[in-house]
Parts: sequence; structure tokens; C-alpha cells
Amino acid sequence: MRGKYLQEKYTRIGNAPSPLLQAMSLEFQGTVADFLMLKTISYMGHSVTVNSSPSKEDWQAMFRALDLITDLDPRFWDPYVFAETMLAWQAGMFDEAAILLAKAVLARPDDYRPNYFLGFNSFYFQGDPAKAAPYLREAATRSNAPSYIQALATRMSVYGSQTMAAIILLEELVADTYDPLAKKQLSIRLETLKMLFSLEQALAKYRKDSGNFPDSLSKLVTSGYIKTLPEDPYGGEFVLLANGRVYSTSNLLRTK
Amino acid sequence: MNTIFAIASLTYKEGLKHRVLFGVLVAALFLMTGALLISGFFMRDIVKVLIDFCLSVTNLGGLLVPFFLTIGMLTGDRDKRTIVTILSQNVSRTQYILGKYFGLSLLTATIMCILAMATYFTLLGGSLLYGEYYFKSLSLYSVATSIVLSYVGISILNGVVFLWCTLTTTSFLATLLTIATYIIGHSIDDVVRFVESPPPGVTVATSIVKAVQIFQYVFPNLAAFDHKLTAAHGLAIPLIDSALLCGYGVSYIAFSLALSVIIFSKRDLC
Repeated sequence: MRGKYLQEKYTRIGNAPSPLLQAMSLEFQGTVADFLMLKTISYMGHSVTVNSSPSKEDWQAMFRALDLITDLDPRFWDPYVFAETMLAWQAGMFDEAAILLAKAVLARPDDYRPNYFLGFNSFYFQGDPAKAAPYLREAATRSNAPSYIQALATRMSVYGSQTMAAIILLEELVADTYDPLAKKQLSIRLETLKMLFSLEQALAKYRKDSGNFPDSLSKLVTSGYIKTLPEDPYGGEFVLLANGRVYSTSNLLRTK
Repeated sequence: MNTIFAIASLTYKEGLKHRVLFGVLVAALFLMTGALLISGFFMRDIVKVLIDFCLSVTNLGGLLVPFFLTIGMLTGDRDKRTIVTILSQNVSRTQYILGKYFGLSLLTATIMCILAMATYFTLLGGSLLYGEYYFKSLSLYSVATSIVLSYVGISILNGVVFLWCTLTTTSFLATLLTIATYIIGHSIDDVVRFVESPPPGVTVATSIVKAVQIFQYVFPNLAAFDHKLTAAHGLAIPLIDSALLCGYGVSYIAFSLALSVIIFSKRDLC
């Protein structure tokens, strides 16, 4: 029996219907939301520590829990950050992340970040600048929006700004995060993107000088554009695609 | 007035001697310390989690008075015939009810003040432990207003407990009615919203709609006094809203106590 309960993967509270949980929480909805969020992040932290990726069912369970948490406390920022950094970045669940972030847009009308995240996901992951532009323009109108967002909205069609958009997002997330494990994970991702960006910049310079992209990334080393090829912190390999984009075989996911 | 003050003072001192009270306060302080440590597990909204926890503990501390002390003291006075001794000392039934109520309200205020101070020091500790950056949205004014409104809500519940104790003959029944009042008070808003605009495909019987609409005005709307989430997110609670809520609270308490006095006056204590 002890083994059975120690191996229990995730909370069952996440399966309760939202109106029922809200009614049962009475005047303690905030505390119940916090408890559920703690269960969600500790489960994810455990997965990261043992280097295993949650299953599809676990990701869906986490999405349902985040949906409940944001129904109990729509202004609670941590579940939306979790949706962006985990559901979107890690699991590729962009539609689910968008459902949650749409709630944040309504509940946090003074905050630029929900619209910024929605715009970023459309631009960076789904490759749809037309869909991203209205979100970024909306984000830029908020009083706490940084000045680069307006410029980002207008520069989105430029190839070089795609990785830079991700670097800017991650720098802000790292600065804003207290939890050491989450901070470390985000910092590794940021370092990897900076490596990708420096490779893209070296490729752009090579193309400007020679008129073509090189056959492989090692040509950048032999031609003196970079000193050495960086190592992917996620254990994969940086490769050059036919269209001149740099890709990591790890897809920025930890591989053993 | 002197008689009411004397009964209030005796009730207050009797409440302070209660050992359960001391244990609850110690447990609450431990819980708040735990909140300081647990909030570090969260990524960003550390101050929101800390305030959620501290205000919940403050509220629970205040709720112990109506659920345990008020019912225990009132039914205890009746069962031990202490009330006969008090009333034989030229104390009217009205003075007894009002004196007891003010004494228990003062006790609730004392408990919530102690827990409010613990909340303040917990938030101070949190800002030192995690840094000012995560406490930018903190508004002590909103936290204080939330505690005051919670106190008014609990005072309403205290008033209703007096009504149930004068109506019923056992402490068990009074406790059940108090729990029912608390649950109805906190969920009536959601129930009214549901019956007046049910989801598509759901039909609510007319009798249920009528019953809910009556309950809405008979039972106190305790959910209106819950501003913990507002305070946790550092949002302002408008002064006019607070004033209206306090006015509603005072009116409801006055009505409950008046009804209690009328029922108690006609009750045979022998």
C-alpha cells in the first residue's frame, strides 16, 4: 500500500469539476488555488529532477489543473507562466496555453505579459506573424509594457528577430523567477538560444561576404567567423538547414 | 450601560481563560511560519501566496469564536443554570444578550488583531527573505481592510449564533444551524447566479428559484465580506464599498440581536 501511494503520479483534485471545487472552497479559493499550484509544480519539478518527460496524459492533467487554478483565482500569475514555459515550450500544447492566457488577458487588463506571450507563441512557435501582430500591438498599449514590444510588432517579419524575440522573453522570465530550479532551467534555455543567435549572426555575415550559406557549421570555424562550435547544453547537436536556419537535434529538450 | 459593560468584560475574561484559544494561537503562529517557507516554492507570486495563507489563518482564528466559544458559552450558561443566577442579579435579558455579544465580539477582535500582527511580521519576514522585488504589489492598506471586513462578517455570524441559541434547545442543533448559515452565506451569490441564468439545457423549478431568492435576503451574504483575493493581489478596496458593507453588517447584527432578545424574553428558563 505504501508503494502504491508513493508512486501516485498526480493529484486527483485536478479532476474535480470547476464549479464544484469553487463552491467547496467557500472563502478559501485563493488558498485552494495555491495548494493545487504547489502540487502541479512539485510534480513537474520531480519529473525534471529524474530527467523524465511527463506523458501525454500527465500534460493533459496539468492543463486541467491549471484551468481549475485559474478559475479559482484568475489573477494568479504563476499558472500562466507555467502554461507558457511548460505547456507551450516543453509540450508544444499551444492551443491549451492560449486558452489559459486568454483568461489572463481578461483577469489582468493592466498587464502586458498575457498578450505578449500569446503574440510570442504565434510568432515563434506557430510561425504566424499575422496572428501575432494584434497581440503584440495590444501588449504595447499597456502602461507597464517595455518599449521594445512596439518595435517587435513591426519587425516580426524580419528573420533575425525571431530568435531575438525568444531571448528577450527568456531574459525577462529569468529575472522575474525566484524558484532556483525553474531559474536554472530557464537560464540553460536562454544560453542555448544565445548560442543559436550567435551562429545565426555568423551565418548572416558569411552569406554577406560570400553570397551563399556554407555547407555546414564547421565551415564557419575553418573560415574564422567563429572560434569553436558551441556544445548544446541539452545534449543534442547544432545543424545547419538548407534555408540557412540553425537547428538543435535536442529541440531544446533534455536528452540522456 | 454599566451592566452591559460588566457582562461584556466578564465574558471577555472568561474567553481569554479558554485553553483552546491559547492552543489555536500557537498553532496559527506555526502555520504562518510554515507559510513563509512554503511560499518560496512558488515562482513569482510569493506575496500573493503568503497573504492568501495568512489571511486564511486569520479568518479561521476568528471563526473559532462563533463555532466553538459562542455556542459553548451560551448553551453552557443555560445548561449549568448560570443564566438564572445572572438574571436574578437585576440584569435584564436584553442586557445579558448585548453584554455577551459585545464580550464575544471583543474576543474575536483580540484574536484577529493578534493574527493580523502575525501577518504583518510574516510579510516583513518574507520581504527580508525573498527580497523587495517580489513584494512590489503588497498593499498593507488592502490587507488591513480585508481583515476588518472579515471581522464584520464573523461578527454577523456571531449575531446569528445568538439567534440560533435562543431558538434551539441543544448546542448540537445550534452548531448545525451555524454551519448551514456559514455555508449558505458564502455560496448564496453563486447559487443565485446559477438559478437566475442556468446553463443551456438546464431547467430550474420555479419553486427552487423562489426559495433561493428568499434565502438571498434572509441569510447574510457573508461572501461579500471576503476580500482576501483582492488584498492578495494588492488591489484597492474602495472606501465606499467598505462603508456600505459595514452598514449592511451593523444592520444585520442589530436585527439578529433584536430578534434574539424578543425570543429570549419569552423563553421559560426553568
